[in-house]
Amino acid sequence: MGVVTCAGTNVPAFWKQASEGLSGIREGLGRISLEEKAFKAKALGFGVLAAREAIAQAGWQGNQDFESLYLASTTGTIDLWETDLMKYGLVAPAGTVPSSLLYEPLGVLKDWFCEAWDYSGPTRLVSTACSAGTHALGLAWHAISSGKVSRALVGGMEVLSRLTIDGFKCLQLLSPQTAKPFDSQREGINLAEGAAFLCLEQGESPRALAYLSGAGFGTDAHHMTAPHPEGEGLFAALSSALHGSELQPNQIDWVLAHGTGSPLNDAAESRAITRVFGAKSVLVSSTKPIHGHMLGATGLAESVLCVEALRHQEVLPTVGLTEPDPKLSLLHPMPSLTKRHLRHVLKTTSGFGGSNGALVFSQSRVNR
Amino acid sequence: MSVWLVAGASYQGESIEPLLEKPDFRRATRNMILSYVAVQKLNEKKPIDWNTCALVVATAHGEFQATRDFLWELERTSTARPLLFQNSLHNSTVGFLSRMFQARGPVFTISDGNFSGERGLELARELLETGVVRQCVVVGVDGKVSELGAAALGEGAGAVLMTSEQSGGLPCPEFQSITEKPYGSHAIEQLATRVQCSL
Repeated sequence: MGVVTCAGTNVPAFWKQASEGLSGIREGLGRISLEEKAFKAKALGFGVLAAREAIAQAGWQGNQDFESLYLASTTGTIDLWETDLMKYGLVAPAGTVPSSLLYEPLGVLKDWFCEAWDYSGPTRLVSTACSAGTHALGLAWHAISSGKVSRALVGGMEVLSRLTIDGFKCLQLLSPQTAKPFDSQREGINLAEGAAFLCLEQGESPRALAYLSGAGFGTDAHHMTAPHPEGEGLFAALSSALHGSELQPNQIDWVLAHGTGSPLNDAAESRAITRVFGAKSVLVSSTKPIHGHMLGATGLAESVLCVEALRHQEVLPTVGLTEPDPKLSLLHPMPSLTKRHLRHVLKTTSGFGGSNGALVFSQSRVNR
Repeated sequence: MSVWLVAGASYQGESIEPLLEKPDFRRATRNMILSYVAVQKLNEKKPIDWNTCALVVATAHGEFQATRDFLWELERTSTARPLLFQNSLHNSTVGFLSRMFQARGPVFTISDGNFSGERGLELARELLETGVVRQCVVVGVDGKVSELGAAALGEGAGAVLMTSEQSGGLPCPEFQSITEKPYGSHAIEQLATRVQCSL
């Protein structure tokens, strides 16, 4: 695994900061200063650095060792493009857009990432908004489980931009303070940038950090930005993930929720979780107060935390949760690091457009 | 596992004015409308179980116009318009289609520049071969950006229905590069036309 986040630019630092409850959010945003100037774009830089850490940890020999690449991003390299486009808009004669501004921010990111690794194999760049990361990992799981490939590199990359910051602000979804997921005083999300990569292999391995046991997808078919009030799509994703992992709800020890801190998302998510597990029947947390909401990369960064939680046998609380919303019927871990026997944990995401994803991670058999 | 193409449909340049009179479409982007036309035609040809069918939207430029309009208005007037933002994300079209058709199965947006169409078809094959779903609608769409200068973009939308169950369809070929000049949604539009002619 590998990460670059505002709360740590490698996995050990990320876990340490998360476990100590130290937020990387400043003035409501999770920004990262990229020191290496060698990258053409920040999102690319985040991704390459995170992928390097992951591939080194996996002991892979670069592009020779992954048969398939699954990427996730919402806005790709938009930061390179939007400034020029906005400036052009101020002076453009009516009716023109030059070809240089006909940009493909996602395709370009994929091309540059593959170029950085000299990789020309099968690639999927998934852009299902905030569920892109879990969807990419879920697709890789299905491909490996069915025997189509034996190894896959999965990663998400995201950069803060005028589009997303001003966009979420005009939807009144941003919080100027650190987000408070599931809190009765929650007022919005913290956008952040970063990247996370995971190396997946088929079969048993003494080097396995954890197992990806199941993946599910579900769609709300309700609204362009608001979730289904009853969490229909997420309920479907949760059910599918549990079915795929052949586990019952009572075998899940912890749910690392999407938990953005937005009033509607937290409410819808809590309904879906309650429908599957029952009221206050499973520990539920959100770690977004630590690292923010990295859109397409967030599901993967939080999957890293799921794996680390299984390795350390420790649950992460929701930092800053002081008044749990009584309407949400969720059970939260104590506001301090909690040692627990963790066998299986579940990660959820919900995105604009009504796309939802769920993943089940299980303890490495070596550690059982 | 074999994968089958059972139906294809595409936007043929017909007038979309009647649709624009309907409330659901007044605020829709051109990508949303063109892709809707293609999928609606597909829906009329073959029964689709929208509760379980996967929906893949492949697009090279995504919602370029909505993004441009949002950013230009922001720069000119310091006003960020919520509708433009919600329409600007690559995933907006699949969100619109899933709502219009009540598509509750897995949905994906795929973008890979000139090969977006091929990647969408490859993903659909993967979803079917790995057993995630038994039906998959793949839509390729890239809309014309208004007020375009000399560098004109073509536009189009095509949709194909693929299944893992043989039901009078065509065996689905492996997709390497289905068109001579692959571009955005073009691959799917061409495939949709071939499927229409053959079935």
